[in-house]
Amino acid sequence: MSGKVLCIDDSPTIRKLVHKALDPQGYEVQEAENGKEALGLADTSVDLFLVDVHMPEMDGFEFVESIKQRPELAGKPVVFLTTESSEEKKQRGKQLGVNGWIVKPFEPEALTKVIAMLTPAT
Amino acid sequence: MERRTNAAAVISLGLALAGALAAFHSPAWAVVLVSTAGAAGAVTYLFACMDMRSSEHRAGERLTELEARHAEREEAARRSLDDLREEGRALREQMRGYGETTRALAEAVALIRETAPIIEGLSRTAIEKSERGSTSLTDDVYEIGRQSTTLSTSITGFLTELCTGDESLEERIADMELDLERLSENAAICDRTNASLDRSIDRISQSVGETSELLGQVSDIAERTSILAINAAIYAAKAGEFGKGFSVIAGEIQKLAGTAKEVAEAIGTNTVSIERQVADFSAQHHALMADSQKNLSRTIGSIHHTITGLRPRLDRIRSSISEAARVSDSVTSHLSEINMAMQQQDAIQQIVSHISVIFDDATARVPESALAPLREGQERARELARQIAVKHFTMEDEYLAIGAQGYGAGVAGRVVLDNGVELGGNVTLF
Repeated sequence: MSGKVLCIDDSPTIRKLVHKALDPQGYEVQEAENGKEALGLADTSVDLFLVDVHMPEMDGFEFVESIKQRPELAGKPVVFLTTESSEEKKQRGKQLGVNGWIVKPFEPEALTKVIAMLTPAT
Repeated sequence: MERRTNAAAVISLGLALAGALAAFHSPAWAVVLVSTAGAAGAVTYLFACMDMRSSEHRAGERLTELEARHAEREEAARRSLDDLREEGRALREQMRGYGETTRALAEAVALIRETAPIIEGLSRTAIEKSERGSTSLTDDVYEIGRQSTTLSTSITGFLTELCTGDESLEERIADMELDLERLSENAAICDRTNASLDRSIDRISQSVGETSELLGQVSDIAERTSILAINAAIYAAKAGEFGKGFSVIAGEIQKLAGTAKEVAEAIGTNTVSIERQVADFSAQHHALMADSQKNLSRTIGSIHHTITGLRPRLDRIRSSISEAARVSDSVTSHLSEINMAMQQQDAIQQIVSHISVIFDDATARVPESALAPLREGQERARELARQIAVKHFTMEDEYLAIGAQGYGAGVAGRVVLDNGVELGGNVTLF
């Protein structure tokens, strides 16, 4: 497996744990502390966006809304990785075109499987 | 009664109106009607006078009744007033209590407000420390896991190599077992060769003995031949001229006998030498063979012991391969659990952050007017909050979180032991 995952989370611990889970699987993990920073890093080389919901500057929903308006990024898979578990928020994510929703704490194996499923061609 | 007066008045008025109307049509009817109306008016007046007297009477009764009721109400009002005065006193007391409570509440609110930045500072410190710890711990644990997996893989590879392939330990043991068989066969061959050699040496000894006997006979023959030649020479001398030729022959025979004897003695000497050499060789051979057999036996025993010892070790190696693989899986599984535990830690950080934000938000909503009763006590509340915080603080980071330097936070000293070793961290030796 390989591919580039942009991990957007304000927690350095979570970003590191995502690294630890995905590095051994051959994924390249790029990090951003919030949606605003991620917008500067998001380009066509990214194969999947792994996004937290609650972040300073720009939250996960706002970030997804932004990339969905960029035609070259609109089709990229997006997975929310968050402590948020309310059905209302999930539905909002679904309406935005998000592909998956993983509630923290995540199991590394589950994360890698979801990402592998959503990035089969990479 | 009043109804009666009213009815008469109405009738009188009606008749007067009817008379006025009739005056336009028939004066006679008008006179009749007006007259009747006048009568009705008189009756009305009469009734009214009667009603008035009656009303005066009732009014008097009513007045008496009202005076009695007024007296009652006045009494009741006086009692109520007394009650109200009593309630007023109670209310004033209560208000004084409320004032004290309000003041106490204001003090508490002021204290809480002063505590908010302390809690915020503590939360920030806790989160930073936890975050640093989590990050470092994650790196360390994953490094341990990586090294453990690498070591496990290396050990597994090495052990697998020991157990498989042409150069494997198993193959070596099999080779040693074949060598052992060959050595055992060689030992048997040596035994057989040794026995055969012993038999040959016995035969040589026997032949040497037989040869010695034959040489004795040869010597005896040579001795007797020599005597015979001497006798022949004597008889040849007695024969004179005729015996000269025979005397020469006798002399030659004597020489041959002497030569034969010398040859027999030389052969005897050589035979004795051969016998001695064979005996020496036999002794040396036996000694050598004994040593060789002892060494061979020791080697066989050693190889057998080695093989016997290696077999269970080989089984343990196979078991260790499985164990190493299991350890590797276990490390992976534990890393997964640690990953989740670190996320829980991260969740705790978030919760602490949320608590701080909520507390800060809530205290920010306290209106300034709520603090009005304590306006002059703000500084006291601030100092009280710091005193309460410092009372419970145990760590330097806590003091630093509120900028309370000098509240007993120790300065980490550089401690060097007598042997020159410098101690890390915050150590104080007394």
